[in-house]
Amino acid sequence: MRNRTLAFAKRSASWALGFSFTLLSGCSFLSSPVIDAKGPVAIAQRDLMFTALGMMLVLVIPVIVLTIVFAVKYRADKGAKYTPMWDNSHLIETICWTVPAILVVILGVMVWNSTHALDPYKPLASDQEPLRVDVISLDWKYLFLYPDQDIGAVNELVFPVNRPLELHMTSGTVMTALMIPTLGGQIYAMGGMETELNLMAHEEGSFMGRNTMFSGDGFSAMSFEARSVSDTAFDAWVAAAKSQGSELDMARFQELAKPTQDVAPEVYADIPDTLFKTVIYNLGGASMGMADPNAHTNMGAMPGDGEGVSAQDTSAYETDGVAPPDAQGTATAPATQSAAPHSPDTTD
Amino acid sequence: MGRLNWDALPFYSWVAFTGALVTVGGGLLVVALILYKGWTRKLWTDWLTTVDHKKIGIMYIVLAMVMLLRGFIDALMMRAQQAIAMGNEGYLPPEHFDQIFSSHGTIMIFFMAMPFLTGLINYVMPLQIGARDVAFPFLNAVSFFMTAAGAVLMLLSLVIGVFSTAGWTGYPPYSGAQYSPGVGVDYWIWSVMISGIGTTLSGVNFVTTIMTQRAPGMRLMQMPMFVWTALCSSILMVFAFPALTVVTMMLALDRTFGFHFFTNAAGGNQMQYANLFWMWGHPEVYILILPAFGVFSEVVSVFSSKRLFGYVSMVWATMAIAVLSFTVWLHHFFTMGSSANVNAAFGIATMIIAIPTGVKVFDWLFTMYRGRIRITSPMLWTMGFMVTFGIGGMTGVLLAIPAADYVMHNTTFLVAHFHNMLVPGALFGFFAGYMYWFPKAFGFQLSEVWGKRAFWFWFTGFYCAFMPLYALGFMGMSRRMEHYDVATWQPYLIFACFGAVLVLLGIICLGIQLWVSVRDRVALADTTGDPWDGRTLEWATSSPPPEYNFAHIPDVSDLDAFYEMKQTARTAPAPYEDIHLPASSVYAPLMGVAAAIFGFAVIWWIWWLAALSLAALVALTIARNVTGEPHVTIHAAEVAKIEGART
Amino acid sequence: MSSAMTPEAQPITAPHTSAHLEDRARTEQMGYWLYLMSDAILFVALFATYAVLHANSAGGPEASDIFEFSRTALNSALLLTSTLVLGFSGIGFAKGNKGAGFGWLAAAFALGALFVGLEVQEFAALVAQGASPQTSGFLSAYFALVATHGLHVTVGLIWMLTYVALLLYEGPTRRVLANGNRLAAFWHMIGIVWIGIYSVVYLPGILQ
Repeated sequence: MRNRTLAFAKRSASWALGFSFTLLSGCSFLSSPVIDAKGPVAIAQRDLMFTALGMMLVLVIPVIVLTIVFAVKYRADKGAKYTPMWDNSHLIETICWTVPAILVVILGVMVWNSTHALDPYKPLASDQEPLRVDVISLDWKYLFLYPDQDIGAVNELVFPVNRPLELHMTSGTVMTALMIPTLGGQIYAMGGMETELNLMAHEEGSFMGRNTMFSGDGFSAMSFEARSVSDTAFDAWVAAAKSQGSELDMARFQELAKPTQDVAPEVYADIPDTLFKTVIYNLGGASMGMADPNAHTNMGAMPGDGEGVSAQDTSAYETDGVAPPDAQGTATAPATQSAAPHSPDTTD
Repeated sequence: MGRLNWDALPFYSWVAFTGALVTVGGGLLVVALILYKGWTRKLWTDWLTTVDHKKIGIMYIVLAMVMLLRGFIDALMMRAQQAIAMGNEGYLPPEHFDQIFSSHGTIMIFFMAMPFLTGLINYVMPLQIGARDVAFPFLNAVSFFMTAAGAVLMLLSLVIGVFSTAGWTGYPPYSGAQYSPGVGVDYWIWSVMISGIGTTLSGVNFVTTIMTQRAPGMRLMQMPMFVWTALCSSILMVFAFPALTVVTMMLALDRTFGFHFFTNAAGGNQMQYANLFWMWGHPEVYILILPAFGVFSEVVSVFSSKRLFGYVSMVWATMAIAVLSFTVWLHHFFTMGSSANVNAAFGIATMIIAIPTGVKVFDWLFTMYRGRIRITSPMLWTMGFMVTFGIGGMTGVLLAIPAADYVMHNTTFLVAHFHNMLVPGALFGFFAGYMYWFPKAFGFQLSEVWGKRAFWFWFTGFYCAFMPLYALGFMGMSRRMEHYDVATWQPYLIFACFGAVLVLLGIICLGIQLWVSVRDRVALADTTGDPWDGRTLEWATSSPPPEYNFAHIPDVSDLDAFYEMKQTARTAPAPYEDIHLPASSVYAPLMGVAAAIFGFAVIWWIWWLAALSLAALVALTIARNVTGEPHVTIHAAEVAKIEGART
Repeated sequence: MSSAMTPEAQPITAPHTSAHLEDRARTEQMGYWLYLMSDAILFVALFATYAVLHANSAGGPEASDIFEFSRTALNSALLLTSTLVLGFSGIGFAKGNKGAGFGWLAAAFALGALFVGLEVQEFAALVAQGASPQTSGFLSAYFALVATHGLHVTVGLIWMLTYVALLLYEGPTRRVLANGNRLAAFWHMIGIVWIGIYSVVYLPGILQ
């Protein structure tokens, strides 16, 4: 019985290992977005991960090997050396505590440095001005607004290669998280708040971007194409959007904000200047979500010039539970109240 | 009837309908069996009304096993869906798939792992410290029935209404009334909250028991390692669970009465939910894992026939883990946009936990060193854990690096990581404990052959199911995807599904093991009370132990108290004395019923019923408070008879 | 130790020896204090949420608009006096002076009930002036914190009634007096939480 069990276990284990190696050595893994990173952020994040992994293997491999070695060597029927009362050794104890501690100190320094170096809010070093894109996550698509170009796009993010991409994000619905794994990590987008993510692509190409934070029925298909293109191609794309795209007015935006799935990419020639801030400020009860499609009445009234609605300061909050000062989008208060909103300098 | 009507029945999908049928059918089958066998009376007087910690422990573990089955079916359905849903919708619509991943997580954490570890602590801890029962036997029964009430609500959601689609963490605003109307999230809230209150009470009970009920002579630093881990875990229960109670209550107020704690609207703050939830959630991870660490410590020492290496280190490491677990909650949401200083500080704090955890692994390793290792099934689970846990620890440290977490958060890499911690780290430990202490509880051993088969299937199944998920994380696959259109993901997902099938075989082996062992119980009988050559006090009494555990409360002077007893000559037994035990009580099951009805009524907005059941709950509490704690006495002659029958 | 078994078995629940009763009292004390600590953490979470949400008035009334000094001062006086006189009641029973014991207990109950009554009235007035918990995050947090405290006071009042019932039916036995001690500890904790509410919620609001 026992032999058969073992034989089966060995057989299934070897089969499993064989199969997984076939898979792993396949190009699908090596060409995966995280391994085959295409931007400075993603490359730094990947390298950081593998450096840390390598350091930890120094500790983990001996544990695995020793477990097996001890299990084989000190089996009761082997008659190896037996010291039933031996339960303490200062030398071993010291090593047990200090070796992991040293490793953690090294990793800790790494954490401190890398977290500051790769802070998603930190502008990326480049001789080019970053391209600013405001991102609004909706059910279940992404709306990208290019304030400097005055164009917009749904489910399509086009940007020049080798130029920093400065994403400012908010959500017109539930909490979502935008990630383009080939270019680097994600940050949450939350209603009534603004967060920021800085990325850059080294190569031209088309990359998968998606929402990674579960957000409802259409979550699975909530992805978009991120395309890094040459400067000229980018200009051409902008020009095409301007000539072919339709205007994104508030009525259209409200239509867009309704829950839909698998939305085909679309461009807009003209976007309202304050749309992004309006969504942050007004998210309140006048939600663009699924609950009450008629409750959009105060979307039309916009805070004048975004006065008092500081985009910058919202992003500077720390997650010690303190809400950004202007996160209080209101359902009951009409937008005209924005004349006397919380000043961004009034810290709670 | 509030918002309850016939639409609540699950006719929306054939899969859900089948699930409901199986649940109802299974329930009816159990009831029919009980009636047919005439077990009703026995069940009520011997089990449901009992306050005996051993029986309550067994009931907890039975509950855990039943819920394990349900939670695993969820897992299998998800793996199957993802294996086929490449470029198509698969066989599950999103609203059903979303319920499944939510219920899988909720069940596995709250209604499988929690009852399992609470059951093990309940059964073993009082025996290991030489006590007659826990400090508050009646409260113990109340805790159990609160957990059971939560589990009943959980199962009920399958039949009446729907379950939450917001995941086991229930993040708002998605889980708010605006985006998740209906009863789903309310089922989640109330099943979790009611069982959580039971857990808080368990924590109070266990800490008090360990601090005040130890046998004479047993100093803190002579407690078995399992008792230490139970103590630390229980302290975490007492201090962490109130945060869960508060956060679920706030979400309930948001949903039911239109409050604005976590809404997008009117000044709510969704980030506060994440903070409060994980202030409970991270200690919860250690509540689950520490008792399993305790089991591993016992098993390694017994089956290496050797004293536990580095006991003092182990104790300090356990306490360090417990304290540090409160300082790292923010690592669950590095991606929420905190400043680099905050993220880095929490990342480093998280890594510091790796130090005491590493120490424990080394100490187990050196317990095996120069031992006489018997490779029994409990030992196999332990070694399987030691080999696998390092990988999970490694990926955990990776996720603790904020800059790396930005890429891996919310992907299947994260899913693989926490399963890599909780399957070997908690579940393998519980199985080791189950097979190790089973003979103590029932007087016969479990079949070793089937135990080992179960282990190998679980072990290989685990690797096959979760290693592909690590890879998929690198390939950019998010968690909780109902379908996808990236063809390169599919082979990995098919392989992961194959892993889940292996685990299914492992579960079947566990079932067969139980069946075969009950059938062969005479041949497998343990007449000595000490089938494994144990070292701690629970093995000093008979298997199964008498109701009063020990005829004489032992006097302890060493960590391995029973090992030491066996080395020295037994003195002539002293005369027996009358033993007083708390009498069984109908209040606890009635309170459980009232709590379950209250939860159901609140979920469905049946306010008159909610008021009625709450009043019943209060009345029962007061009545119990006034009547006090009745006792039964087992006379010395009877004790002598029971002890005399022991060979 | 050579003798593994000793004759001095110590049953945990035998209602016999006084040494045992003391053990039992210690055990119950410890369990009860653990429960109180757990309850205190519940309030910590509520306080933390209030701290986070207190400025999120969302265009609705703010703290300075709705809190009145006289009302909160009166509430504080009632509850803290109640705590004090419950202590007197305990001393009365301990000294065997039943009249004083019951008298002070009745006073403590009356003061507590008055506190709850005033609080209910305050809530009703707030809702009437449009400051309901549905108005804003700030008011949600305020109502949750203060009402949870009020609920504790109510539980304490019900407990006082059962305590009286116990005293009447069973008399001031050790068990019943221990129950009274636990009640007093509970009442003290409620008082301390109230001081927290007063200094974190009301005072900053009034001083604004």
